[in-house]
Amino acid sequence: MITSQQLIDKLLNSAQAHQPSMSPTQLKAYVMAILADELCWAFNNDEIVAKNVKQRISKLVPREIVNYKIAVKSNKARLS
Amino acid sequence: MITGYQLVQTFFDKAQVHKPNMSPHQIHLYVIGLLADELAWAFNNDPIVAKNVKDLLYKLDPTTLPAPTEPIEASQTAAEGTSAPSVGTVKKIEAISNPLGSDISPSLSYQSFLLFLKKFPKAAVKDLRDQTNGFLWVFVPVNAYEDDSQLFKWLRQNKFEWSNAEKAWYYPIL
Repeated sequence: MITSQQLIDKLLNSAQAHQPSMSPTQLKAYVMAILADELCWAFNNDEIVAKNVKQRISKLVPREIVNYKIAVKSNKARLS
Repeated sequence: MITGYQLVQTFFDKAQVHKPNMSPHQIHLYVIGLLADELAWAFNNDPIVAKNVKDLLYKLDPTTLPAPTEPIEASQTAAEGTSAPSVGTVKKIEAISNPLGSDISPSLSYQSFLLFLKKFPKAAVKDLRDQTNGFLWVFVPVNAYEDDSQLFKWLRQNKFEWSNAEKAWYYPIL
């Protein structure tokens, strides 16, 4: 089980090793892009992740309906 | 199908409405937190997401993580149009190979781990790495060995961590 903080720390450390010449601001943007890239893959391939993300977005602005198309995913059952 | 860029834009727009008093820098951090929160959940509940993230971390910094296993079946590249850096992320869509008995880290093989633990017969190994986010565990009965024994020193040196909940040592996923 990992926490979001552990994930950010790990990504920042690894990103820093991979891109040592980047400024702190550039590293944050880089890590954000990595997070977004991985999360969007999960969003497009895992219905529960997509539902979670949509719920999170709707909680930020509750009256708006978020209606992204979800890609076809495998029929793996997961606990919500 | 959404892209990473769309996801970031959506979170930014909504976060700005939700937190109108935040500075651009604060909004940046807030969105990173939101993305990480959601990705951590996906990591903990979807083994393919976990493997993708671990493979990506290895590609970014091969010195810190075990080498990723080779893809078993055809692979699918990351979604197009994303703003993510190009580090050759490969998304495995098939099952992950069985990690039981595999090397613990680039510098620690499973065999040498077992060989060392043979010196401490009261310690028990439980390899749960074939389960979703399962760990490699070392259980040591209370008072079986001195606190400053070679066993505990070795576990710490090799980056094993203590779990208060399980009262055992484990090798962390990340």
